[in-house]
Amino acid sequence: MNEVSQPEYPQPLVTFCQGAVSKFASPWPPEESKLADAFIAHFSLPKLATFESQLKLCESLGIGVSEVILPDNLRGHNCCYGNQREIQIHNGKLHFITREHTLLHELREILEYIFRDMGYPTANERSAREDRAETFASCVEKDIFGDMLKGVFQAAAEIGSKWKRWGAFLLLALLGIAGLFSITMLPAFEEQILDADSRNLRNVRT
Amino acid sequence: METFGPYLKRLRRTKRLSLKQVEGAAGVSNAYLSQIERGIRKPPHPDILQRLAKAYEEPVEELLEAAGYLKDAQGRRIQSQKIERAFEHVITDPKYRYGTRLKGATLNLHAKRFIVEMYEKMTGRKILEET
Repeated sequence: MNEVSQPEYPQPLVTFCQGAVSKFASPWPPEESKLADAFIAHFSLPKLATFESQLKLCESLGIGVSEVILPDNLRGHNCCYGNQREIQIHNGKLHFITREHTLLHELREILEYIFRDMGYPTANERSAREDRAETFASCVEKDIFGDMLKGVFQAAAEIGSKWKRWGAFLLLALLGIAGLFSITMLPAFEEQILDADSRNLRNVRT
Repeated sequence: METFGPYLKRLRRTKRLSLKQVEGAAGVSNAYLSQIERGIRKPPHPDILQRLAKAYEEPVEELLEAAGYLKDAQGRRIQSQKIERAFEHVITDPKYRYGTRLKGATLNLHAKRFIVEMYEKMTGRKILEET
């Protein structure tokens, strides 16, 4: 039987972490918003804009992603052993609300393993690592949403009719506020929504 | 597995007690005790087992378990201990990395079991059976 040594990580992730360490080494650790910006720039924004594109990124990195019914206590899970890397995401009825966020959270935790192996952990306590991964996921989502909104605003600016143009601006502004609010408030909403979902699943099982 | 009646009889004989003596010590009629020992009557209520345990100077849990009252609780406790030990193994394996997105601050037993099962899948080891 082959002896398994330390986990091997996908080279693009290692390259990203090396770049982040050299860019943000002083002071270390950087804010998660900076890491999120660097992450989006490194892997290019369009790749991360939808869950499907996030899945493709994971596939290209050799990270298997599956959506499964996880225990009530878990929203997501990741593990690395040898050259195997896997992420599991909770697959409740309402999971689509949080799956992008959870996938980004798990990816951030995999980045943390690399930082740790390089001697640059960003947090030592498990709860602190979780908090950083949560912040990272929210920052990436906000950046993606902001960029998407910027693109739509630019398109709206080319509408010929003045009233239609301002109508579109108003609609987009409302959409922007609602989108940013939902991304920011996701963890608070999620508890209630997914708890209800878990109760439904239990009722179905019994 | 030994049924409750013969178990109780063996216990009494080991302690060199007569049915009359147990009746005096535990306040349980010797006729009733005899029927239990012969399997004619079902294992008694836990309250009576408590009194018998005192008379036989045995831990009450042992009598409760023999009577079948602790079967589920005992099984669950053993299973929990197995999971906790296996989980301890997972978190101390330097070659294995895992992380979670949690609801709440701590991992419950179901979550730990899931993590152990994922470890078993990834490493090909059967640590729940080994522990």
